[in-house]
Amino acid sequence: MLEFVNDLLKFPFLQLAMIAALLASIACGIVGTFVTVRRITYIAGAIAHCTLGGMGAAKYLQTEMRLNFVTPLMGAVFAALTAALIISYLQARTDMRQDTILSAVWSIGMAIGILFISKTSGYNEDLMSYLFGDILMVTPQDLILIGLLDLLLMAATFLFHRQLSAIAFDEEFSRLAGIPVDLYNTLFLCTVALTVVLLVQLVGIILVVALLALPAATAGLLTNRLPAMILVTTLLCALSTLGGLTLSYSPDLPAGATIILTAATIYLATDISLKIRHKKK
Amino acid sequence: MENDKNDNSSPQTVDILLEQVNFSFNGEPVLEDVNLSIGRGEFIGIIGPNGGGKTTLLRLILGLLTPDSGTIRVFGRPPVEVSHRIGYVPQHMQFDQRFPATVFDIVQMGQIGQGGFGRISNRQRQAAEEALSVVELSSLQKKSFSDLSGGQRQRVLIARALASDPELLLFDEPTANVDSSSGEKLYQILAELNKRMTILVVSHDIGFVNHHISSVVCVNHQVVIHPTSTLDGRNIIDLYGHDMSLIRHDHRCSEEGHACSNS
Repeated sequence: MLEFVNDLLKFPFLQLAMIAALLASIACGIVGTFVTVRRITYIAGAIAHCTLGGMGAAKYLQTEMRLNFVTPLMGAVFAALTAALIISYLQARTDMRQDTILSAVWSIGMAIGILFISKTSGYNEDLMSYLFGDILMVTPQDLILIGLLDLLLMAATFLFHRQLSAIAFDEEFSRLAGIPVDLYNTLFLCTVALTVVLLVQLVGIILVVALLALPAATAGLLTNRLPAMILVTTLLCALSTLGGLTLSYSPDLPAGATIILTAATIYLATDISLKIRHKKK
Repeated sequence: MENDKNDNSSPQTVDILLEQVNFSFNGEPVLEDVNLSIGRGEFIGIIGPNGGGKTTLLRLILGLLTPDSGTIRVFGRPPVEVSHRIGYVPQHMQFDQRFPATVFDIVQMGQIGQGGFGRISNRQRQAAEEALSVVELSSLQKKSFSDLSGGQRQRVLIARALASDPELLLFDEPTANVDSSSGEKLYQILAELNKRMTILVVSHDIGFVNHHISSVVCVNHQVVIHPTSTLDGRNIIDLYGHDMSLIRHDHRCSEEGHACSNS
């Protein structure tokens, strides 16, 4: 703990990681809340896993095809948006079961990624960093991107929160009221996709679902209005990411894993203490 | 009826018109040759056995479903063009009971069709508060939707429908999962609302319906309307004498349950 604080003052990469964690918390607070109340954390999961396909393909183009302008982040954004559009199209226009759609998109995305990674020369360490993320590798450019995403999300939430919450509560009623529900849903999924891409950089594909779900689940226990839930989710995200980062540092544990376990501990502690208080009453 | 403007509230005005409407689901006919005309200011109870097509009829009128053949007009227009003028109250059990919203938050969702971004206007706030007072829940305005009883939730959903100032109220199974005193309360509110708007109520529970309604629409693949304006509620059962199968489905719709399937 003390070692972390000392090194934080010394090393810019740690400072970058901290700022990244805080900026990501804003995106996570907004999107995590909506994803949770709409009960679609699994869609976020499917999109997250698809980013492997994009990142793998981008890395392949970069190293094997010498297309230096292609970055894994670009690949991830492309794959996530494609996955979001496919999911939203299949949901709205076909009668396929939702879990079938998600399982298919999920596994196809990963399969594409693994194909490309296996054909890319170099260390396969990349695969692990895609899966589990590495917040300590964050660059200043990443921070700018996350900051821009935060601005976009905050503006969209401010402008459209009434429509978004009405659709989340009752899609059919919103449709009858004349709201273009399908358009909102598609744009919403694209937003989820962009957020997932950035969160993947932090905690990796595997753990991104938990980071979207757990802080929002805790906030759901503590609040009863959407704006309050967004705020509390943001704070809990910040607490989890910074806490997990601090805990991982001295024992040299993977930060992604400690972040999620911190978020899970906060959820459990909140749930249990609320239950105890409830019983006392 | 080509009356596009329905601002005159003469009793002759037809709010809902169905002509030779057929609807089937997966090749299975649900509604056959439905002809129905519902005038402004009526209070209609739609009854019939489960699977008989009550909800389908409601969804056709809302424009959520399109008929295989025939025409449907609401206020003289295709339903999709006027759905924002209809107040729809779905069954209250279908909602996420943990959705983070206060009673007022839910009610003002009824106004999203009016456009507007960001904060709600003072006029909208006023309309939402009025809608809440109609259903006598003003005191619960700041309460969490998830903390309410079934009957209270149902009334919040009515207020949501009223917040956009509809000319027609469609109501799906209002007394399902609501205790009988709350159910009676609901119908008192509806009877009061009926003074200013047409109301359609889908119900399997004829006991509640018969106190207040002006006509009963019986739906069991075919649709028969029984005007009751000259009769009091006790005689509704007698109306079923017109049609033996309707008498039987009334029995199936009673408190004893739905043991028999559709004949």
